[in-house]
Order: sequence, then structure tokens, then C-alpha cells
Amino acid sequence: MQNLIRFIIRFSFQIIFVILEVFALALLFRNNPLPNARLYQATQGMNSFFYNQTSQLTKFFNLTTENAALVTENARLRHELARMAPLEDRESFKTLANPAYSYDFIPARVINNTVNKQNNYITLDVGTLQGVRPDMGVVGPQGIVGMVRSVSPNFSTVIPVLNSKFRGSVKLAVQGYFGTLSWPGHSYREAIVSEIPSHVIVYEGDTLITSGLTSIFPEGEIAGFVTKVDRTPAGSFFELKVRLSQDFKKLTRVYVIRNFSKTEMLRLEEQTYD
Amino acid sequence: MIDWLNRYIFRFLLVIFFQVLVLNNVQFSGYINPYFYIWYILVLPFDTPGWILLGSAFLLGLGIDVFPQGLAGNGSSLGTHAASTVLIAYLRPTVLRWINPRDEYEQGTYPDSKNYGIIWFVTYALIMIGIHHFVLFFLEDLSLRDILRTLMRVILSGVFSLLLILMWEGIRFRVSR
Repeated sequence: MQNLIRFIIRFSFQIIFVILEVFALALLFRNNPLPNARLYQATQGMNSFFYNQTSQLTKFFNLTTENAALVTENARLRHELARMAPLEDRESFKTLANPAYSYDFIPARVINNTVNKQNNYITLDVGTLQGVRPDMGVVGPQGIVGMVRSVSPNFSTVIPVLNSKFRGSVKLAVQGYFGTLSWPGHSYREAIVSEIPSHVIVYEGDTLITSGLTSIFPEGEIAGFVTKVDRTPAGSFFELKVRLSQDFKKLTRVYVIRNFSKTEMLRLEEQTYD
Repeated sequence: MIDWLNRYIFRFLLVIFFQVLVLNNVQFSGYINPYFYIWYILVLPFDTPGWILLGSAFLLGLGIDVFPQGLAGNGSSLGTHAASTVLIAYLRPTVLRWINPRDEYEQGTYPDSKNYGIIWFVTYALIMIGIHHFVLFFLEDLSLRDILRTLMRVILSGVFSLLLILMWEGIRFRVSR
């Protein structure tokens, strides 16, 4: 017993080190997300406060660029509206505008955002009280942003395209072939689209839009533009390097997409797979 | 007492706020992320008890971990800063022994640029920053897939962290003189 105590005193520095280091690594490699969630909840109030204050302050410096982006977006929407107007009376359009199959856009402000990590995250100032739920899509004025991960009453966190865990279903706007959008982690402007069948002819500058297959994004949200076609010699698929249309460093205003038909759709699909 | 409070408490809060509110918002490029906060560990007094050294390093790392992305519960890398900071705190006495300028460190001095000179301090800071950043970026990436890119991040960020720490040491002693 005495020896043990002497041992502990003699090596207390090493013992404390091992305990703390193991604890830190356990946090990192944990299998059980619960302690983390607790810690997260405990600190989130404070974090949100800080981020809100910071973004209140920085908001003003971004007003000019933000305005410009909103004007551009407005112009695009007006243009689309004008194109739609003559269709409105037709019967086929009324079927298209079936309210059961429609999307709602919840406006949100970005209050925290990183672009230089391997796994970036975005925090938004909307939560369950505004109708945000996990797995909803998020788009910015210039293109797709990501999908909602966790939600609290007033805030939500988003896994953006700039996260190694992000996967999105996109397609070539002209050719119509589907692929998977992911981020290799080099630059915040570049992503890759894989699984494009190798017989498809793709040109640099071709547009990629969301496929509408996953019920997270409606079809046709712009994702990016092809910058390089990477044809690996063997294999039936190839990869595209893509310039993301959304500049994540300029992100201030986004929209969370609520899909009204999602629950019904998922339930039907579950039935089918069972 | 005031000095004690300053060295252990005020500086602790100062480096966390500076790191979280300023440096984490500075994004030079995808590679560069300066981490100034380890300056706190560098300049703790020589006779800091082991448990304070390790304990404050752990809390400091955890503080940085919890704040920056604000997404601890979200599969982000909670624990990376804590692990790397505790490691350099543990290695600090060893590193100090390696680069011992004379036979012993003098009583009543601190391991900073004023007491032992700029060259000694740069060596000391470089070793500590190197270990810290290396462990940090590898834990963050958690793969050896892009080892060159991770090394690049270690070197570039390390240079910026060192510059910040040296600038701060400069300001500190210019003002106090």
C-alpha cells in the first residue's frame, strides 16, 4: 500500500498526463455521442450568444456585397416569373403546381461559418421554432450550400458541401446524367462529381444542377460548373472537377428548403422496401 | 497574488478569447490557421506544479475545442486541441531540459524572450509549436491519405503561429519596459 502511494506520488505528473490525454482522445474517438451532446447543449447557449454578437457586428461590413447578391437573385426570380406568367392559366400548369408536391423556403442568416477545415460546418439562426428539421436542404443565393444536421429551438447546424461527409445527388443539366457531389478538401471553391458513366461527353463549363432524386433539394438548383474532365483509363465511370457556384466565403443569407411531400414520400418508399 | 492571477487566470481567458473571436475568423487560405493560444503554456513559470500545467493545458484545449466551430455534438473534432495541448504541456519540462541555455534556469525567471533571449525563445517556441501543430492537424485529418497536405498545413500554420507569438512577445516587453 505504501509502495503504491509512493509510486503514485512519484509518477503523478505522468499519471495525470495519461488520464487527461486518454480523456481527450476518448472525446475524439468516442463511440457514444451522448456525453458530447450534453457538453454541446451546455455550451451552445453561450456559443450562440457570441456568434450572434459577432455576426451583428460583421453584418454591416457585408451589406454592400449582400445587397448586390440579393439584387442579382431578385433579377433571376423576376425573369423566371415572367417566363411562367403565360403558363399560369393552362390546366397542365395547375397540375404541376400541386400543393402536395411543393417546397417552402425558410430564410435564414449564417451566424457561424468555416471554410478552411477538413470538416466545415455552418450555424444558422433558425431552428425548430421556424420549422427547420434535420436533413433539410440549404441553398444560398448562388447555389446549393448543404443540408441541416442538428436543430435546437432557435438554431440549426448545417453540413455544407465543404465537409468530407457531404454527399449530394446532382446531374448534368444538358446531358441529364446523375452523379455524386462530394468535396476532396483542397479548396473551398472546388468539388468533385463522381460516378458519371464513361460514355457521356462532357465539356468544361457544363452546368451541374441538383437531381431532385433525394427529396432534400428540388430539381434544378445550381450546384456548380465543370472545370476539368478526369477520364481515368479503366473503369466505366469517371470524375468531374467542379467549381462550386456558391462562394462559401461570401455566405450570409441562405434558405432552408422544406419539402412538404417528403414524409409521405418516405413512408411510401419504406413500405415498398419492406 | 496579482501576478499569480495574471499569469494563470487572465492570460488563460485572454488567449481563449483572442483565439476564438479573432484568429478563428481569420481565414487566409485553406492551409493557414494560426494557433496563438499555446503561448499561454509556453510562458508559464518554471515552478508551475505539474497538475496545474497539465490541468490548465487540458482546459485550454477543451475551451478552444468547444468554441470555434460551436459544433461539439456534431461529429466535429472535439478533443483535438485538448489532446495536442496536454501533450505539449507534458513535454514542456523535457523540452526545457533539452534547450537549457546554461546549467540551470535562474530562480525567479520565466521561460520567455526577455529572460533568455530571442534565439533561445524561438528555438523553444518552434519545438513546442511544431509538436502541437503536427499532432493537432493529424488528429483533425485522422488519415494518412493526404500526408503531404497535412504537413503543408503544419508548416504554414506553424510559421504564422510563431510570428504571432513573437510579435506578441515584442509588444509585451516594449510596453512594459
